[in-house]
Amino acid sequence: MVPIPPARRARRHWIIEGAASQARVIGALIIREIQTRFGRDNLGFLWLFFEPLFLGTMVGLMHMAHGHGLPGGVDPFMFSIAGYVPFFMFRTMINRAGSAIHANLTLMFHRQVTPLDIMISRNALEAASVIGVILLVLAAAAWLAGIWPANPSLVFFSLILMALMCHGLSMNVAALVARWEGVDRLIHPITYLMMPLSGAFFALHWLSPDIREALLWNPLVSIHEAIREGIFGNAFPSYYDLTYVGYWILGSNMLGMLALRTARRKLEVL
Amino acid sequence: MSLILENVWKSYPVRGGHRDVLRGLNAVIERGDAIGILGRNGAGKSTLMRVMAGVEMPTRGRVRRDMSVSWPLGSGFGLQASLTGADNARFIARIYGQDVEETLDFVQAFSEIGQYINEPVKTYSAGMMGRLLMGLSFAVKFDCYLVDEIISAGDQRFVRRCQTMLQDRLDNAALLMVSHFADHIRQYCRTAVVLRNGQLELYEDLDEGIAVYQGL
Repeated sequence: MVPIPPARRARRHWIIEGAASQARVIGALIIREIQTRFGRDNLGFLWLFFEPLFLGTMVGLMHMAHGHGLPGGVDPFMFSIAGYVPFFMFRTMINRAGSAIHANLTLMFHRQVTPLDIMISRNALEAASVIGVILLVLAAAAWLAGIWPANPSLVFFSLILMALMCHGLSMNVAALVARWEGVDRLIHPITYLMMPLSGAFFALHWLSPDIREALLWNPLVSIHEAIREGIFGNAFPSYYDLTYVGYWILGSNMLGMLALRTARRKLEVL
Repeated sequence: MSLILENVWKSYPVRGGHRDVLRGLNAVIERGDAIGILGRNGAGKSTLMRVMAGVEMPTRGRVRRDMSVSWPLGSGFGLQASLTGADNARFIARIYGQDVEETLDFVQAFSEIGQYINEPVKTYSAGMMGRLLMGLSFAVKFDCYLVDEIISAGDQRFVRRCQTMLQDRLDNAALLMVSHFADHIRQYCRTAVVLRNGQLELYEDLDEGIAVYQGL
């Protein structure tokens, strides 16, 4: 007695079909990514939040133990977390971009799974975990210590921009590594060196105007400044240019998607 | 409703240049065709399957698909070892847009691996993996089946179920099968194609095609 397989669904107009199909593939990839990274036992996907939360807390505690207060009377623990956790998003997305395609090579045996889908699903998970952690930290600070963020919507908006920015950059990294494997070795040192250059751990207000202008060429600096303004408000002036970030986002995403398409043509799946 | 190859070339970079595996192939495959693909090792049969399935892109030329084409079945790929059998089935259901529960029920009933459906695939025996893979392959109703070396995993009963399933599907679908065993080709295919020097040679008479292949 042979079982009967499920019936085929009716196909709608090709535009709807295309978008629905891509959404389904990305959804399936996200679920699969959660299952492979965290398994179904223990806490499963909750581990996704633990890593940034744990690291952020540890770094914050270290800075607090250091003792000295920060100019502007700002709590060093919060300052630290506000810098480290978004930077963590940048660092994990870019570091893991190089291996993204190779790790999921056999999935592309299914024609509808494209490198773009793979990157979107991985990055969406990373972004969700970091944004979740920041919201958790802000909520805990508000509830336990009475520290309310000055402008929560600015914080949230900047985090979204950070996610889009890192997504664009990660696509380019993935395409580069697919073509030249050696590039992967360069990525880890580069993200490490970005720690001082990304404005995560200091406020631009503390630096001289010349250095400020130079650093503002880096879009990440604007994002970190905006997040700090959202949390600390007027404690100290913040300098940022989100329109500039917007251009970077557009450029990197367009270039990234193009690069992935080119990489796909040359890809040897096994 | 057809799968069309238009002047398809596929080259791979090798040391000191490149190697043309497929050279200017032209073909039209319609529903109801049952074609056996024969050729020596390294002739490019798996490459041809992958190009038709859209896993790899031709270096030159186009592949047009007006019907749903399966992924290259049977070549051992399609299973994700770290997921459970059930999660594999759900993944396939999701990316092909089928009902998740029904697909899972079908795969469970067809592969008959019992409790192990909820265990990671890496804990399976080779036979179980083969049966799960066949289950996944049949879970989606494709218009064109690409079979790269049919798996003869499982006992007699399972093999017979696979054959029944395949026969059922072939009433409405196309089949392209790569095999080195003449009996498989005779059982499922009506025409044969020999892949030689990157070119396809069509033989309407199955026996003639098989004889040519065996004489290679």
